[in-house]
Order: sequence, then structure tokens, then C-alpha cells
Amino acid sequence: MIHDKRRFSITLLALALAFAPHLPHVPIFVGIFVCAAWGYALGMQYRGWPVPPRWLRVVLALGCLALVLFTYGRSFGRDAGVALLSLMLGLKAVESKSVRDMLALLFLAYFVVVTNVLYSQTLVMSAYMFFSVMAVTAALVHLHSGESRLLPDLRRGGLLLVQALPLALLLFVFFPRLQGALWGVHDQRDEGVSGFSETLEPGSVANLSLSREVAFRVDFPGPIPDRDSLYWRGLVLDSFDGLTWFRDLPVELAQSRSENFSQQAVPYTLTLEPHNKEWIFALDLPVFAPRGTVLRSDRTLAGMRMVSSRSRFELVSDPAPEQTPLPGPAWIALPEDGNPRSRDLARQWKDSGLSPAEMVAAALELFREGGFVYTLRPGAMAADIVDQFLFATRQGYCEHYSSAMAFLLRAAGVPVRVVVGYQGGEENPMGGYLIVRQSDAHAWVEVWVDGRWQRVDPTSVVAPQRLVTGVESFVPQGQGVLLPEGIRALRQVGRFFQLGWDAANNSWNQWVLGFSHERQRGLWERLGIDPTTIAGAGKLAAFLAAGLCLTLGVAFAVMLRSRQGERDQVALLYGRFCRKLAAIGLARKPAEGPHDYAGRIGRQRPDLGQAARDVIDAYVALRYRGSGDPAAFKRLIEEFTGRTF
Amino acid sequence: MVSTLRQALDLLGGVVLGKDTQLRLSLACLLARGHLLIEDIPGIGKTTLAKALAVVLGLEFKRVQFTNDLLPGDVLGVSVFDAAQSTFVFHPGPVFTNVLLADEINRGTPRTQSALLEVMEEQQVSLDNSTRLLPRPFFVLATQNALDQAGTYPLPESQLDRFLFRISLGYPDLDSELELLGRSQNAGRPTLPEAVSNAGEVLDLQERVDHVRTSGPLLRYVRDLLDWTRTGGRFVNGLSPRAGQALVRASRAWAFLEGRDFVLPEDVQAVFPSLAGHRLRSADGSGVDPAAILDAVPIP
Repeated sequence: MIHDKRRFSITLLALALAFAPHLPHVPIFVGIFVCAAWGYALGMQYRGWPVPPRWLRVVLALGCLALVLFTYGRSFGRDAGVALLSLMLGLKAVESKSVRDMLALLFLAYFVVVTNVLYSQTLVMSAYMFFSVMAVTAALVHLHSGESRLLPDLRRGGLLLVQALPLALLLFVFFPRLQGALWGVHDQRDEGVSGFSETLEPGSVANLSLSREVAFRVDFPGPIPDRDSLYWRGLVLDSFDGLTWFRDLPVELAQSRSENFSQQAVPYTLTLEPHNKEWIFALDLPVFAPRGTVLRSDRTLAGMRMVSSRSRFELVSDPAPEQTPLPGPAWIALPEDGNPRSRDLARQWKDSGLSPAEMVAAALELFREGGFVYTLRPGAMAADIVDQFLFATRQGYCEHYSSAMAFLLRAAGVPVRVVVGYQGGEENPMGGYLIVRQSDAHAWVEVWVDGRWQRVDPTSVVAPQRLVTGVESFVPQGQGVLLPEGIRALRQVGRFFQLGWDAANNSWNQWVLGFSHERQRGLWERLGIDPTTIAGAGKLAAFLAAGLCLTLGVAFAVMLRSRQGERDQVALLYGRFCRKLAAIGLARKPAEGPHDYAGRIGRQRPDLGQAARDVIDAYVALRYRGSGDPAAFKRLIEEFTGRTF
Repeated sequence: MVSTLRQALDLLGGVVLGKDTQLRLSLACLLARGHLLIEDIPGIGKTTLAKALAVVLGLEFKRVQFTNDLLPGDVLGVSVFDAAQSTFVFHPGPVFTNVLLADEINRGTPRTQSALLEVMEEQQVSLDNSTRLLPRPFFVLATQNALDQAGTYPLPESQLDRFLFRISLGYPDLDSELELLGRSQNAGRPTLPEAVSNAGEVLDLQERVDHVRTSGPLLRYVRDLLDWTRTGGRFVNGLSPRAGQALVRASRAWAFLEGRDFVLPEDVQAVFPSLAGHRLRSADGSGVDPAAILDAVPIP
């Protein structure tokens, strides 16, 4: 039995802290088993319950293994591993008899803490992990210290961790990073990620408009462009089936330009949240494809792989569209029938000899003057949705306007395509970057006029403030009831914290999580290290080794210091005094007593003799006679070290 | 410093010339309730020192010359049958005194040596089922001739530990030598000074030494010194805890002689060589250099 119940309880507490974040991930039976096992272990300590016999423990261990295998079958990956680890954590506690067992438990706890990274790498989780590592370390210290109080051990645990930080930082920056996911077993059944689908139908964008989730963040090195030019294109849809716009035509790759940007070109860095699709959003219009992406002929960017983790892209966009040849007939294709009234209207335009540009103007005029309403809740529509929208309901969201406009123009024989993406974004004043949320989702059209695909946003004529203030002014709030002043102020405060928190998270993502293989390479290159060559690799190794030696050396020096008992204030101050004198060649020998030292100073530097004697007398009084005024001593030291000689 | 001690040192300095440090150490040894072993060649002033010390402090002085036929009884005393009273009457030996000079202690047999050493530790004589306390203070000055080892019984290490200090006097310096030569022409023997103290006062001084303060950092320094002798396999045996206590006591006495009521590392360093030299034997058979130990152990 472990005689010290307290130590065992503290060990268990540390384990619980390490294990707690796993509770939502592990199957319910695992959580119950672990808690029950720990409860029994506590009972063993406090109530004298018997240790389960060896055969029972073996059966339990094998049973747990079988259960995990049964539950997860062949896909023995992250989840199964964590479940097994958790079960064994429970079992080990039950058979813990000695200090050695508790040590094993605590070391296991470190491992459990690390596995949290497999599930979450957010700022909050990292802070929590730091805390739990500190708790486990404190428990470890407590196991050895035999202190009756926990606080000094906790402090020491924290101190140890803080001391480890420089080394951790060094390894973080210089230890070669693995390309791709560390564990290679990223579970694909991650929570459903909201975002676009590959089609546009009534309601598909409106559904997103209530989501405050972040789609991506953008950092402009220069000023952020005007809000009404912030069109983030994601996908270009080229075909319509009467209800849905979708992608059907084969896409080609466009030539990516990496130089000769025009005057209006805007460079920026876009950090995309994972959305499990391959497309990548870019400001109208991206001109070159960064590594790992391709530029399509419809001027959208696509990744080589799905974006399943937060990714950073360095992009350049140029708002001016390029000349393109007349698109083929597929770009004016429509279903055979349906929406007759709209077709009639288009035919009228065509018959009256309007040019494409005039037709665009006519369509916009229609939306502006036709009593159209911009709303998030347009109501359901069945067949002939364009007709219904244009001539009956006249209520719609951006997808209705875009869809209807594209239909009209195609019916009139003008090549047109629908673009889905985001519009606008919220500037975070605390980080100087732009947050684009799901609620900024938008759809607009591009019309081929004068040899170019030109952007036309029908929503802008119906609801101009959509482009100025964002969609929020349209989100129904409490059914028109005006909020009291106090609550609005409270909302402002909440918003402030929200933005601050977002800025903190963004920094975390950029600087910690975003420190990828590529960026590490970039850093090395800036230091003149090319790890692909032998010399570069050697340089890197030398860098690492030097850093390690430096860190360890500092740690060793600090340790030696503290062993000399310089921790207390008087000794620290005396150390300052001695260092000051060491600078003029009067270093105190380690085995030199204060009076001997004073004598030597007096002989070698008679001018300093009296001052040094005063300091040393005060030191002797404090340290050896056990009397004297520490504050006066401090003043003396400061006076002395402030002098120049 | 207490004026008595200053006077005593002055007077002793007039008798044993040019040996200030040794005189201080002797006095410190007495104040720390220890015993002193003087190792040197004959004719260097050992007896003079012992006698002068006793006289100056107003203490009773006796001397025993150790030879290989000296019996314990010759030192401690014997019970002799008194026919007139028909009882055994105890005749105290020379050990019943304040200051005992045990000359050439290594010439005595181990039996006699241990009888004396036991008394030194116990400060009492147990004979014939009765225990007789020695007078206080009780201070033994033993001398031995380190070079002339023929027919001697060197003190074993365990018994060397009973002596707080081992010192050697050494030849006088040139000036002192000259003065000494002149003096011997006049009188042959130095005239012994007057007593400036008495047994009661010496006991009182010993009491006051006990109250000299030792701070935590200072005790840590002593601990580090002890620890250094025990680790690293430099010595056959490190300093014992008893030696450690003796070191603290001796440092207190030294600080007291310096006129302080607290101990400084310098006090420890002053007494350490005399205290550690005879207690340590280096593992490789080479000589022990206590000063090197002091240099190696930093003061915390």
C-alpha cells in the first residue's frame, strides 16, 4: 500500500486533469470505466479495499484490449489508441502500490496530455495542456519533495516548465518539421464543415448567412482595399438545370504569372480555415498560383488536395479582367423549357436590339425599379423559380438575383456565368487583418462584354448597403424590436472581446500552427542554410547543437548559482557587489571570507577600501551576526554598484 | 576581546616568542574545551608554552613524561593500603590538575595512552568502583616527536580524534631567535609572568564561547567542508560528525578571541587546518593539505 494517501490523491488529480479533455472523444464506456477504476483505487487507499487479484487484473487488461479491438475493428488509429491508453490509465491506478507505480502513472499522464494535440491545437487547448503538464510535473515534484503543502511544488512545477520554454522554442523553430500531418492518420470523419457546396440553388447561400464561423482571414501588407471591391471568388458555375447552377464544363489550366503585375495588383496572405473542399478563395482576380495550387481558366484557384487543415497562401490579385476570346455556346446554354415569362422578357430585349451592355443595364434597372426586396427569407418556390421570383414574389437573396440575372442574359444570348464566394469581411482593428465569415457568403455574375468577363453584382442595386455594412444589417434581430441602449453597449463590449480573441487566435494560427515545413525552410534560407546539401544539414545540426549547449549551459550556470545558495536576497546583492568588483579585477575567490576580501580590496584599491568595508560590514552583520537592516544594505549595494571606477 | 585574554596573549607572547598564531590556537583550544597535541622536535618550546599558559591563566599545572614503562596508575593515581586506617587511600595522579602536559605521549604504551585519552574525554577518573571528577577546566597538552619514531607507539587515528587541534611550533623566526639567545645568556630560563586570571574565570569564558552565534550560511559552509572531505574518495575517511561539532566549537572560540560574538567563515578557515590535519589521511598516501580543502570549498 502507498502509505501516503495524500500523494496518491494528488497523483490521481493530475491524471484526471490530463485525461479530462479526452472525455468527449472516448466512447462512454471508456469514460465510465476509467472513473470507476480511479474511484476503486481511491477506495483502496482510504477504505482499505483489497487490491484486485492478479488474475482479475490480467483478465481486465485483456478484456479492455478486446473491447477496443471490437469497437474500432481494423481502423486502429487515433481514437482506438486513445481509448486503449485511457483504459490502461484506469487499470494502472488500481494496481498502484508503490511510489514507482505512481511514477509510471505520472509519466503515462504526460503521454496522455500529448495525445490531446491529435484532437485540437487551438490556443485554448494549448493553454490547457500547458496547465496540465504543469500539474503533472507538480505532482511528480510532490511525490519526491515530501512537502506537506502543495503550493511550493506547484510553483516549482511551473518554474521547471518555464525554464524548459527556451529549449522548446529552439526545437520548435529549428527541429526539422515533418511534411504533412504528423500522424498520417487524420480521421476524415471530422465534424461537418460548413461552407459552400459545388452548386448554387435558392437557399444555399442564405443558409450560411446566419453563421458567424470564420471562413478565412486575410492580411494585407498595404491598406485594405475598399469594401465594395472585396469580392472573394471561390467557384465559377457554368450550367443551369432550371433550379440549380453547377459546374459542368471542362476546366483548363490558365497560365500563372509570377511577375509583371500591373499597378493595381494587390498582394495579400490568406489563411483558409479547413473546409474539406479543394477550392481556394481569392480576391478578384488571382493572377498566379502559389505552390500546391493551380489557376484555372475561369480564374479560380484550386488546391492539389482538399483543404483539410488550416492553410496559408501568399496570393496576388489584379482587379482588371483579361481579354478572352468569345466563349462557346455552352456559356449561353439553358434548359429546353421552363420559365417562359423570363424568356419572353429576354427575347424582347434581344428583339429591340440592345447590346449586351445595355441588357445588363436593363436587368439592373429591372431589379432597382421593379419593387424587389432583399431578404434572407424569400419563402419557398417550386417550379419555374426564375419566373416566380421575377414576376411574383420579388423577394430574394443574392443567389436569386444572380441566378435570375444569369438566366435572363443567357436567354438573350449573352455569355454569362455565376460566381460564388464571399463579399466584404470585417476588419479587426486589433490585428489589422480582415475576417471573412460564412455570413459574408455571396453570389454574383460575370458577363462577357467587350471581350472580357466583367463582374456584375445585381444585389448591389437592390441592397447597396449589403456591400457597405455587410449582411448583418439584413439579419432579422428580435423581430424588429429595438434593443435597449444598455444591451447595445453590452453588445459592443462583447464584440470588442470577440475581435480581441480572434486576433489572439489569428496570431496563434499564424505563428505557431502556421509554422509549417515551408515556412521553416524559408527561415533557414534566410539564415543561409540549405538543408538539402550536406553542408547545410551540418550547419543546421551545428545550429541546433549550439542552441542546445547554450540553453543547457545557462541552465547549468543557474543551477550552480542556486546551489551556492545565492537565492536569498542578501546573497544576491552581495553577488552583485562582488561582480562589480570582479569587473575591475578584484573578483572574490570562492573560498574567500568577507573580511579577507575587504582586506584585499583595501590593499589593492585603497580608494575603494572604505566603501567596500562599509558594504562588507553590513553584509557580515546581516549574514553572520543576524542583525542589521536589509534595506540599508540594499541601498549601500546600489550606491556602490552605481559608482564608476 | 575580553581584556583578560588580551593580557594573557600579550604575556604569553613575551614568553614564547614569534608564535602568535600557535598561542592563539592554544588558547582557542582551551576555550573550546578541547585538548591540544603539539607535534614537533624537542627543544622548541613546547613545555614552556604549556607552563606559561597554565601560569598566565592562573591554572594548576602538572607534567607527565611518557615512557614505555609508565603505567596508567602513574598518570591517574593509585589506591594504597593505609595500615593505620586499614583502608585503601587514593593517591591522585598527576592527571588531577587543570593543565596537564603529557610529554612525548607516543612513548607511552597503548595501555597508558588510552587511560589518559579516556580521561580526556570523560573528564573523570573511574577507579576501584568510584568515580572522581577532575578539576575544571581540564586541558591536556600532549607533545610528540614526529620524526623520531624508534621505540614509540604512534597514536591510532581514533585517538588522534580526541585532540581538538594538532599544531607544530616550528623554529622561531630570526628576530625571535636573536632575542631568545640574548635572554638565555642572562637567565637561562624565561621568568614566568603573573597570573591574570583563575580557574573560575576561565570556566566563565568557556561558557561565553558557547554563546557565540553561528548563522545558517556559516553552518552550511561547515557542512560543505565536511561533505567535501567525505565525497570524491580523496581521503580514507572523511571528517566525522564529531569533528564537525568540534569545528564549530573551535570556530566559536576563535571568533571569541577575535572579539566577536558571531562566527565568520574566516574563523572556520583559521582553525580548520589544525583541526583537520590529524584527522584525515589521503587515500593515495600523499600528505593532506587542509589549505587546499579550504580553497576548494566555496563559501555559501
